[in-house]
Amino acid sequence: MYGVEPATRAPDRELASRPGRHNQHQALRDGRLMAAVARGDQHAYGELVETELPRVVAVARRVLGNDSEADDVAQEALLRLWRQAADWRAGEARVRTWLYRVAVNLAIDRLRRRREETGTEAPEIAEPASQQRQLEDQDLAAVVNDALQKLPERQRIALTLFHYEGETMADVAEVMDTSPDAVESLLGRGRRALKKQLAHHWQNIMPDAQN
Amino acid sequence: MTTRDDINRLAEVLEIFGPEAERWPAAERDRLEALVGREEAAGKLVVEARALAAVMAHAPAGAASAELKARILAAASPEAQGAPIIVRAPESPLRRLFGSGWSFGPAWPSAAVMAASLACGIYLGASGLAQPVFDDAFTMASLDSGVEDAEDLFKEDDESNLGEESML
Repeated sequence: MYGVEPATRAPDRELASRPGRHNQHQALRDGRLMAAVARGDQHAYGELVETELPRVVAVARRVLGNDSEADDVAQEALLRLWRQAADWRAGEARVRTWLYRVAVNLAIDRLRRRREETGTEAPEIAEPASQQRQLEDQDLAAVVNDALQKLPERQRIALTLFHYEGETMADVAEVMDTSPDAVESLLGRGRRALKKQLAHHWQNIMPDAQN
Repeated sequence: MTTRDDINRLAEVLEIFGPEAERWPAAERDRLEALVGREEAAGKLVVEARALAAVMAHAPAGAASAELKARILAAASPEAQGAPIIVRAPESPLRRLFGSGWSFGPAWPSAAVMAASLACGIYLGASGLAQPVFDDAFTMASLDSGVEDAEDLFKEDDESNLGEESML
């Protein structure tokens, strides 16, 4: 099951988790900041919150489709960073990747609880089925958000991290605790599904493509 | 590889990586970019992918509120640092009662009752007044300490902790 067997790592995942040059630089910077945070330096922690919170919130909102729940998830992820700063192993990971991973796991827990309670993954803000015909009249943002929420959660997470957050394939694999090949498969299926769901809208902004 | 094969591969790459060529696999980038410049069908695929990306860009991300940020910074007190999230092995009851790991309310009332009971028992025992009273008092104080109940409080109650440890 995704995200619950952190101890097992496939060889290709080791490769995927190895930071590139840019990531190495960022991991070193993160290590310095985390060392300060571990000493209780609230200024250093504030610096991390300032840079990372917006991205963690964005990821949680896209995965959950619910602002309030996303804020709770982002808060919990950031506070875990503070509480566990003393255990940080400098140079081995980026703070952002770690935060994404915690936030994604927390979001998945909430999605599963939601499914258990309601029998559906759809967020509270989703439109009732009877109103689906009115989608054309809705704001495009809501339409796209609705389409994203209809994707299976792992496809949505992969698209959120790779397409929206601009993370590398290796980093997405790291966050999702899977292989880059598996992420490629998730991205391909996710984008194909969105292309189908949003066909009317992307064809509208590209008249030449209409058949 | 035929042109048709290349176009099929381009369609696959666009689905996985999106329309921005700099995100395509480096080993295939030049070949696929040349294909896009050469073949109308390939160019059409890229235009479609860009249109889809433009629509996808409308998905709301929102912004982190100042209130959320303030809430997080306020909660990040020195006392909260190192707070136990996962407890792997049960500790001894005495360490739980008096050690720094205790974080579930004051233990001193129960401990005081135990100490008072013990002192009372020693006095009664030494004076030889009533040995059974000593036994009863000690039993009552032990039940009141809540040590057995405390066992549950240390159990991990949040399975979402899983997954983050490997990176720490």
